[in-house]
Amino acid sequence: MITLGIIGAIGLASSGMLFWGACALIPLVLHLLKRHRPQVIDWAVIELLRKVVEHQTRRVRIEQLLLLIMRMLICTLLAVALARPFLSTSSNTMQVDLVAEPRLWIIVIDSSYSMGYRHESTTRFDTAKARAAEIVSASNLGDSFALVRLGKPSQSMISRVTFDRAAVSKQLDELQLQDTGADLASCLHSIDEIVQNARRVAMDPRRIHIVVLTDLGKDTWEPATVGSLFQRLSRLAANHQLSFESVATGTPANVAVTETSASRTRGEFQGRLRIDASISNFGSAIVNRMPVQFLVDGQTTHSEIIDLGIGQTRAVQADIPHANSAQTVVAVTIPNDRLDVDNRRDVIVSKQKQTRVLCVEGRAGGARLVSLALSPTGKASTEVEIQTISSIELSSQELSNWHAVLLSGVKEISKSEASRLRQFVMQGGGLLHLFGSETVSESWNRMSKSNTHDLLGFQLTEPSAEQDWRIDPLKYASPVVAPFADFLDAGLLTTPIFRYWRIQPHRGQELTIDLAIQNSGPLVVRRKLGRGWSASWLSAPETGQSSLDTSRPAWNAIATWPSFVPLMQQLMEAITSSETESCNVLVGQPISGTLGVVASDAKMRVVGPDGEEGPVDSLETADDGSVTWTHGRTSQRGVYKFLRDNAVATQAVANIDPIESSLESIGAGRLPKSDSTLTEGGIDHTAIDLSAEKQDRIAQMLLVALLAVLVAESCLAWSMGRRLA
Amino acid sequence: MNESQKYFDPETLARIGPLGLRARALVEGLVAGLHRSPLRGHSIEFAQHREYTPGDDVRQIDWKVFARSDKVYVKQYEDETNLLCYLLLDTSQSMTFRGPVSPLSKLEYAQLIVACLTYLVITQQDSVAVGAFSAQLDAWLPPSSSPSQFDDMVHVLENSPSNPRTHLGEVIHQFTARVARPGIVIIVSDLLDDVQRLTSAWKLLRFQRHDVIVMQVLDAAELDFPFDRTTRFVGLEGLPEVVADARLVAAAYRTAMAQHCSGLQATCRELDIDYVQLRTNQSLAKVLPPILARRRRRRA
Repeated sequence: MITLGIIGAIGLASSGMLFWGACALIPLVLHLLKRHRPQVIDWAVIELLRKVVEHQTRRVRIEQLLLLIMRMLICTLLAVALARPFLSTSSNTMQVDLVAEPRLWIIVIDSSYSMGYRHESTTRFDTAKARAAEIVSASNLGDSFALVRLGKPSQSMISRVTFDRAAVSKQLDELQLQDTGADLASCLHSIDEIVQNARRVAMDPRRIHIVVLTDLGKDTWEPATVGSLFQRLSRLAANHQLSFESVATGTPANVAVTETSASRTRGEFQGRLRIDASISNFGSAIVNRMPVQFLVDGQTTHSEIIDLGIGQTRAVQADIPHANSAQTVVAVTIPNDRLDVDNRRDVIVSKQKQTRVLCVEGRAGGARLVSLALSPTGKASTEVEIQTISSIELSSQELSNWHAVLLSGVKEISKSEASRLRQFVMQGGGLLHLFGSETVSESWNRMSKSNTHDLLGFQLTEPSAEQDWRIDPLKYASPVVAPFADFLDAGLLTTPIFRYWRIQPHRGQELTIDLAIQNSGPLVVRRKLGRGWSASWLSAPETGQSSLDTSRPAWNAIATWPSFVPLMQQLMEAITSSETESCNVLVGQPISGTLGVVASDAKMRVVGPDGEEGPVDSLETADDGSVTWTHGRTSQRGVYKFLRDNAVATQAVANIDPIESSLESIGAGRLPKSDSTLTEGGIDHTAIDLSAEKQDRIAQMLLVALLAVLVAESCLAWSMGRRLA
Repeated sequence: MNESQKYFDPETLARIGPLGLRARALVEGLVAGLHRSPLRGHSIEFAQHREYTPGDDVRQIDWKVFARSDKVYVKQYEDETNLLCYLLLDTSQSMTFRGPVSPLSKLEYAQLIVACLTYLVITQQDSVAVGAFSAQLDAWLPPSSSPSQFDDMVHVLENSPSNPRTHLGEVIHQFTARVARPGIVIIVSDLLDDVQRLTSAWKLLRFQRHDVIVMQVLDAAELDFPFDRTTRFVGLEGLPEVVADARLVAAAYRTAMAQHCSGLQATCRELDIDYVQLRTNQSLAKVLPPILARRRRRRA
């Protein structure tokens, strides 16, 4: 670049393209090479030839020189045109230099549902798209683009960099707001891939501009202020031009339905279901007299007026009649506000079915207590059917007839039994292990080490020392103990535990701890295995009396305690809830189900919340012939209807993860940012006069000149050729 | 090609080394194809009258008969027996040029023509003199009708000294100084000299009442200029070399060459001189008979 003092600067936007100007030497080299290799011939008519040559030489030489100059000029003009010369009237020549080179713009647009928040009549998402379009239109000729959608998961909309602005604009127009949150890790992965591809084509890393257009939601970006995400962002900022543009404006006001649940999805309570909902006020103003409606299959069945203080969350309940259909869609809604997507939440309640439990006892009468707990009346009820068998009979039982299998005092199981139980759980069944003094840990641990036979997800290490252990309800977070939260005198905390099995979870294994021993290990743990749950009670319920046969001291007196029955029933409900869980998912999570043993050509179709119909993502047939289907494309909030033979076979709802409803943002200053001329509010393109249109004009002039020279060269060459012919 | 004509093919002749052998091979073939000598002079023995037909030489019209009978007749004479033929061969450096596709150089080709004509003249009992020239008359074989004249001619042509340059004017001066009796003068040369100088020389010959035949021997490359790249042309007569892009000057060269030849032809026509242009790649069987036939028609 050549500075012209206060006038401005003249330079080349793509100076690298000037290397093509070296092609101008090719005609010259060819000319010289040809000159230096004449053939030698003895000639008689030399005088005549001399006269001819003398006459011709001057004209021919002039024409040849002209032709040579034209050819060199063609190459030079082309190279200069490609180098995109500019003439800037800006006095800030440093700034010109920074932006004049061709750049790769990686535009990241946050498409999480919080971007749907409206300010006046424009959503944050629209603002981000408009800003992206502005960046594209104000970019220099020769700049390339990539587009990444920050969502969950994030996706590269334009992963192969393009110079086609129209294509980028089209992609921006087609970009849709998602009903998901944002997964920053996958977004950074997408950016890394684009950067690596750009580096492969020798793109200067300092010319890669990453512009993130986001509302800087706290839940998404707070994790990026520390740890590995911060380091990854720092690397991007150090190596490239990273900038964040926040599209969050003003103080957000938002009220959301953050949770809905049916308190007993499998049973009825006096013929009605109880629906619990949580309404939260994330705004900075009190909300008065806000109606909350409960809709069953689209019909309002209950309405309630609530007031919400600043930051307050209120629980709202409603008892609703159970519909006759197999599944009931219950929706809890509040009036629309600036963020509509979180003003409704659905829950699907399946019609009551009898829970069938197979109790397997290691010794005769070993499962009597838990059977009583599950069915206290001792009679066949409509809610629970229990069949007790000995461990010897387990191998001959057809497990698919049961909702749950309870292993009480079973010392050990064979590999084939473990495989069958594992498949049973994978397909949605519930398994409850009761480990006690009779358990042979070596056998279970051996089984647990095998990936194909592992049911537990941990190793039994040793029984604890005998003492009076206290229960830790873990803040009643687990649904197993949640009902005890309002009934502190129900005896849960005073449940007598003397000994229990200590466990060592497998590396990387996620276990849900429902109940724990204070200042020690877990007491009740659950593990999600496929579509079902495998739960372990690490101190099998006893009456507190020493065994008459073995004189072993009792490990607990749980069975005598008032907390025993509800605890067992809650635990059973938790491990048999897979059907309800699979019908109530978060946006982005897969929905799955089983069809039982059906023909191999069975088909399943799905109708999404937007009314679009299509096949489910996958149908898999298990070894026993049962077919499992999975549908992973749940990017929209709402009800998904799954059709078989053109009839609705089952329904599922996908709700948004309320994590982003708070709309709380972090400051861009807490994130790593490149030290460049890019301002926090964006890129100051107005300071320089380097618009693509202006560069286009200069390039056009050069191309016109190039065309003129090409025409002149062609005419001259044709004229010379004609004479030669 | 019949047995006799194969001797006229330049490629065949080029394989025969010595000039004497090559010339005999040629003339034997030539004689086998000719029955009557076309080289006839003016006879003093009147033979008969013949009615004038357009194209006849008006000098042969018998004006006395015309005056008496008011009819136009031309006089015909018996064949001349005392023909004197002078053969002048250009042996300058430029005649040694041989093009890329030519089997014989211009000099070799010209020597064959001279040998052939010598033989023809001798076989009809006429006298022939042979001269080799460049800047001057380098060698001279006086007129003779002896059969040994042919061998002498071969010896002269093979051993004549040569100068690099041609000066036909000086040569003609020397020639006219030596020759007192007019005859047929056949000049075999590439005629790459200034047309004005050549014209002066030919005028002198015509002034001496010689019947002149000019045979311009050129190589095909000199006429067609078949080169297509930058070439350094080295002058054969000690002239400075010329470097040129052959493609660029070819057209202009061809034009200039054509103009030079047409200028010579026009001059010859003016001076009543027979002009024949020969290419060294042409078969003598195809070239010589038409020339001789034309000559016969002309003298008839």
